[in-house]
Amino acid sequence: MALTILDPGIQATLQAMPRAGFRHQGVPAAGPVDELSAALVTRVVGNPPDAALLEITSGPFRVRIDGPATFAVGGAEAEMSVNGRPVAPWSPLTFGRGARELHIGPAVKGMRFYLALRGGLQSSDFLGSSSTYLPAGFGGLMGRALIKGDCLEVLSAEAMSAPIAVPAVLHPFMGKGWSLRATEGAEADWLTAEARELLFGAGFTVSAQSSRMGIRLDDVKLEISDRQLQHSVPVFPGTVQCPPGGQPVVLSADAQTTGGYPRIAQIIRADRHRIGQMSPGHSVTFVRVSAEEATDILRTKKAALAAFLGT
Amino acid sequence: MTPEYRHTGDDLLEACLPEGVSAWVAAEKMRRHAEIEEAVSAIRSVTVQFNPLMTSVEQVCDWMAEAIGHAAETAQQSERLVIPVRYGGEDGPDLDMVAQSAGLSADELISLHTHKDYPVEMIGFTPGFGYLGGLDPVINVGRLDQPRERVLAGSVGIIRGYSCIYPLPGPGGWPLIGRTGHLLFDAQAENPFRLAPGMTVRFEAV
Repeated sequence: MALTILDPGIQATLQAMPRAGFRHQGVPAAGPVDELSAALVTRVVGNPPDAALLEITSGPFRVRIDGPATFAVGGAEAEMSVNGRPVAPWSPLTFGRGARELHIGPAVKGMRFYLALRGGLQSSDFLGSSSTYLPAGFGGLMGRALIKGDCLEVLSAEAMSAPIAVPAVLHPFMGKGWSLRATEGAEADWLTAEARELLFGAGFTVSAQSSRMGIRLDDVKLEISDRQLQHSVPVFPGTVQCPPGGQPVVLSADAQTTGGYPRIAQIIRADRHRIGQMSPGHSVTFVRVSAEEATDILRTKKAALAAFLGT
Repeated sequence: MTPEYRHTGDDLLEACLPEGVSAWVAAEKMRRHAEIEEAVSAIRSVTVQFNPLMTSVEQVCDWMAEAIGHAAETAQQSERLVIPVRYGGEDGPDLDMVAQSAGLSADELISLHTHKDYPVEMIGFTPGFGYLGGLDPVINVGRLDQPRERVLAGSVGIIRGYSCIYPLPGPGGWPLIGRTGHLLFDAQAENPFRLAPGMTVRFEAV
């Protein structure tokens, strides 16, 4: 069983669980930017949570799969086909011996797709995770994005469960407009009073400057004090920084571990997976919540997923 | 003086530390709790990320107070790393620019840079990147207007107040004055990163 990249699209990488517990040494989390979609398709094919899968940006994307194989695609919405015949997302697709071609996209809602193969994909481990971190070239396939002709081996993970489709009620929301719940950040009071209200009311637009590290927002400029942080401070995926120009930046999975710009908001843990589906041109609004509300939201969300994900 | 706590996200707590407390040691103590996912030390603060479904911010504050209470900066002899550096030329393309801006000759800059020990004050930005404090204030350069897309591993950079050694190849905005062949990153080692706060670095011209 193997998988051969025919057209990687804008960017395709191998991702698994985030690289946890090394931020103090400057090592970012990496991992799927939309962790929820990745966790769901991982479960669809019955893989353990740390099995590597493909993260595909935007599409179109083409891959040859040599069977027998069971695989699943989830995440952004797009037309998908196997050998020209339409297939559904969020469901196990099982094929016997022989080669077939999977075609995905372009995305019509959302931004990233996840392709999981039963057994998991071969991916090199570094510091306890096989997720690709592109800036330093760790994990995945030689630490780089996949290119045409790359051949990935399908493993046979132990402790697999039976393949199962995601119930419709658990399909993550996909769209072109995103509402992100956030708490105020450590330096929120550096914004003027008007800017502080604008942050949680205005409609921002995702700019073309978007990557796995972060997303710059356009259309609204926030007025912020011109003081400077004395030293760099810790930042995390979901931290919203505001550089002097007043255009906020939402940090993502590959975010650096420390930064020099004021942190004006922090997207809540329950909503961070949405960052992975925000595409240039999409609209974004921030909704202010308290930390206590955020924890309640997280608890409710986890409970809804617990039975399906087995967590 | 008591530390100041800030709940900077639903799963983040930041403590601004009083003088005399080692942020690196406090963060290390915090990482011993299973509910703590990350504990990152900065120059005068520690920020922890925790699982809010496994613990509460009140509990994390208590752990932090305990960690800070046992993280006094000690005067014990710290590990001293001597780094051989080839200054200037292709290895340090900005040496002349930095020297000129400080009103020094290239040789004077090299002897200034190699005459003292620099403490590792913080690790951050990218994997294993150390901020080495204590740079002579006569050197007052900032980051390059156009960051380099690719800086070689081992490159030595300086900006006002700090020196650095790039542990891995990658983009970089610090003016470069030299380069070392000394390995600061070893993927095969149990701890792949050679630098940690509390250590000091001495540069040696070769």
